[in-house]
Amino acid sequence: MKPTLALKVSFVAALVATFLLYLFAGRYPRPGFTNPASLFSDETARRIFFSIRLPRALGAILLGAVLGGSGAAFQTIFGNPLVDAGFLGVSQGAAFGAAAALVAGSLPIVKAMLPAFAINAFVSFASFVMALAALGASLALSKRFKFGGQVLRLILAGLAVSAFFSSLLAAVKYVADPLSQLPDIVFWTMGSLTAMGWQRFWTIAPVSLFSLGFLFLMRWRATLLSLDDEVSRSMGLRPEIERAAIAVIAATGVAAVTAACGIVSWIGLVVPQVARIYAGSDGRNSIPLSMAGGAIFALAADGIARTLFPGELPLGIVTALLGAIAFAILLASRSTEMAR
Amino acid sequence: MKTNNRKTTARAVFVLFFLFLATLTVFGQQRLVLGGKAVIMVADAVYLFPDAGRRVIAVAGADQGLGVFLSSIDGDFPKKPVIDKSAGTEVYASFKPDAVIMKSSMRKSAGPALDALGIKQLYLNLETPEDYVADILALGDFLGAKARAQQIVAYYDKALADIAGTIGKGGAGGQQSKPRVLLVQAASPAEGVWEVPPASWMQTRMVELAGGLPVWKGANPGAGWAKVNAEQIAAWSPDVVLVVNYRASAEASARSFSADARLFNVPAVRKGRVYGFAQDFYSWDQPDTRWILGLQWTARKLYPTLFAGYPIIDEARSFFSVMYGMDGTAFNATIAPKLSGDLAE
Amino acid sequence: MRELEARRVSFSRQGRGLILADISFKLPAGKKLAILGANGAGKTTLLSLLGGRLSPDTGGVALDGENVGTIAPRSLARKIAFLPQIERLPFNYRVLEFVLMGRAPHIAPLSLPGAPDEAIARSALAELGLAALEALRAGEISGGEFQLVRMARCLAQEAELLLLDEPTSLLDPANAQRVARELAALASKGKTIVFATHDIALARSLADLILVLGNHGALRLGPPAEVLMPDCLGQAFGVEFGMEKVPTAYSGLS
Repeated sequence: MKPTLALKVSFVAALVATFLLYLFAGRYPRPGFTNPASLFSDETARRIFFSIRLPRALGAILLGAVLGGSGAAFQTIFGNPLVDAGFLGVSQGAAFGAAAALVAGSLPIVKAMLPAFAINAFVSFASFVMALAALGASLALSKRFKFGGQVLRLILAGLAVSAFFSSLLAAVKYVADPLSQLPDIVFWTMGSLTAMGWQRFWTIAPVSLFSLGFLFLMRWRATLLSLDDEVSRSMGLRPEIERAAIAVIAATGVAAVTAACGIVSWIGLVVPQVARIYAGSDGRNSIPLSMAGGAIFALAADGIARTLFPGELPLGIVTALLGAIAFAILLASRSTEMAR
Repeated sequence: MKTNNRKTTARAVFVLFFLFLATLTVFGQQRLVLGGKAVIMVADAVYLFPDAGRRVIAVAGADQGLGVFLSSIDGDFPKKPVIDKSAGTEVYASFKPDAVIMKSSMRKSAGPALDALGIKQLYLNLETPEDYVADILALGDFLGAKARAQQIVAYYDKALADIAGTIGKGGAGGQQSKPRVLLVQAASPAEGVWEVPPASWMQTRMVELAGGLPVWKGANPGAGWAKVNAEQIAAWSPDVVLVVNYRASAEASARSFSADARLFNVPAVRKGRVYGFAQDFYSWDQPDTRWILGLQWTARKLYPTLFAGYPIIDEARSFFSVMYGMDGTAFNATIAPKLSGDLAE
Repeated sequence: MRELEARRVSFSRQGRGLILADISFKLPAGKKLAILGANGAGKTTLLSLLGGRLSPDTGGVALDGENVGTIAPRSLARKIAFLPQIERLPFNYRVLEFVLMGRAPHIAPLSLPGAPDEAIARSALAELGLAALEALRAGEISGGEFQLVRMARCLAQEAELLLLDEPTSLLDPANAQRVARELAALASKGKTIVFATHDIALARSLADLILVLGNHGALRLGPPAEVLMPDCLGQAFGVEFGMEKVPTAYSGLS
């Protein structure tokens, strides 16, 4: 359809434009936009460009694409526009894992075993493991329910597991040292790309790209799964298996980026709505556009988060503010892609 | 003879009365509990007063990971029961204290309940140099040791005056000649993430009193440490950088800072003026009784030539002697091994 | 496809006992079979058994001699298209996108539909006279049109056997007539149609063969003229039937 081609081109163009704006905005040498010519004359500017801004931009793109794409995939395969990327307990599990690691990291036993620089890797690792554990718990729990279709069972199981890990997180916050550990935990749960460098980028890239690639290839198949299971079965699908596969791979991507960057909310919820408004609900368009849209959103939000003030704002605050406002505007002004 | 008898009696009564009062004060403040969060600052302040060891019967958990200083002053200290930092009122009451001394941040949460039990409380701010003067005088009144309090305050005042005088004499008073100073805590050195303190904290005051320009003022909207990345640090372009680390080696963090490729052009890095903040049991940048040492150390880093011939180690010896009654042997045995950070001149 | 055969099919459900007992019939290609019965008689169950969705307790269902239970889902979907009675529309898909989903059995899991698939979807819509609806959203068309669009999706599957559960039950006479006409046209082009219904008039006009289900199994199997007798229908539906001449929307179909 011709309109879709123009739409795809404009999304890609917007992504490129945002990427370039991001690379040339910052606080060095002054808050605002960097003169590209300074890249040739100023060695510090060059180093900042290549070892701070560039990996962070790429990290933002991965983060946004994974969250947007996974959110769109979840909403499609569950046939529910209000499902968020981390709803299968992934976000809360990741938060608990990171918080527990931050508190445990100050125990003498743990400090003796870990060299100083490895504490961040420890936190990310614990976060990833707990996120996957939460995902597994949701899937296992959903199989024990004796009522409803797979969709309902997964949503309810996800709610229960999220609530469980959320309360564990509260307990960790309660025992954390308010001067040194608690602020770190709070900052982590608000999400941030502050520590995104080349090392962290290469850590999340493989899992993220695999997840993105799989979701991209399955984008039409995911659309089929939005129909009633009875219907999709009659078309030769195995809905329970295929839905579980897509959910697991999408959630794993989310777990990876959440482990590295903390909980960045609203991208997985709002970007797919926007994509569906512009391109329709068919996953062939909405899933890739959600990936691009998520990347654009993450770049824009992080650009603001690191440029507005000398101190870094947590990314999650900016995405939540922008996301909530955008959400309200969209719902009020256009008809959304929701069934009657 | 009668007059003499009367006079003697009068004097005797007078003396007895004062003895009685003195006994009252001694017995009246005999049992002290030091509680709540951030108890280290409170404990270090209380222990400035002699006899404090006898009066303190329990202390909340004091672990900032660098060893407990008070054990070396008061041999009985390790035997004192440890209260949980967030213990409830009943725990405090179980010690039957005459008074509880805490940081003023605890007033809202602990005050009403302690009032209900009739337990006296003393709250100390201990956040800025001015706080220290006021709080130590208050402690002096509370403990019946006014003279000692004034001795301590005089020590602080003299040290402050000496610093101001030396800097003023060196003609480094005007804004232009003040070095631009950055103080950071190591959050994630490998990834180039550092934290700066709020403008209201002791660290900022310390740098200003030492004749420096704290570049991070205005960067931190919050009430705690705020993250900044290498780009912002490069933009600030400080002349001197002081690196704090409460959990590991501050000098190592300072070396990491200097080694960061993106910061190679920062004046402090180019001129080798990146220093790990000095510490003994506790880091000297904190609002502990040691803040004066932190200030003296900072001044020496900012103006090395002005303070040449007045090594910081001498100040430390003097501090621990006056404040905690440590002689040279005790200092060498207890404090000297714990000294770290960039102490060299 | 040449023939659909059910051989002594029985099925019981946990807690509900025997639903179907000993059902047998042979349906040649191009013929239309109506499964008639009261609510709960087992019409949907039988359709599911015929479509290979459920496994019978005894006996079997064979498509051209091959047991449907042994055929892989994707191959099976290319031979049999099953249309449930109702379905939920989760998102406001466009009609063409919706019909295109019927091409799933012909497309590998990681692939997308191509131009040929789109052409087939379009012609499915055209065949049912729905070409004008192509660009509209599924939520904006009428109930009858939606039912026809669902049938177009089945057509796009290019299956030779269509199993439809109550295709006209929720439609008014005009839409029901349209659906019935299209089904007759499809059969004349060679498609085999099995449909479950409790609409006796539809069964009479459209079907070549009627299977009447009673409490536990077939009451009668045969052409409409033989089967649609008051006594047989009375037994099936549990009410008394009389004979009357009434107007019908389904005249002149077979």
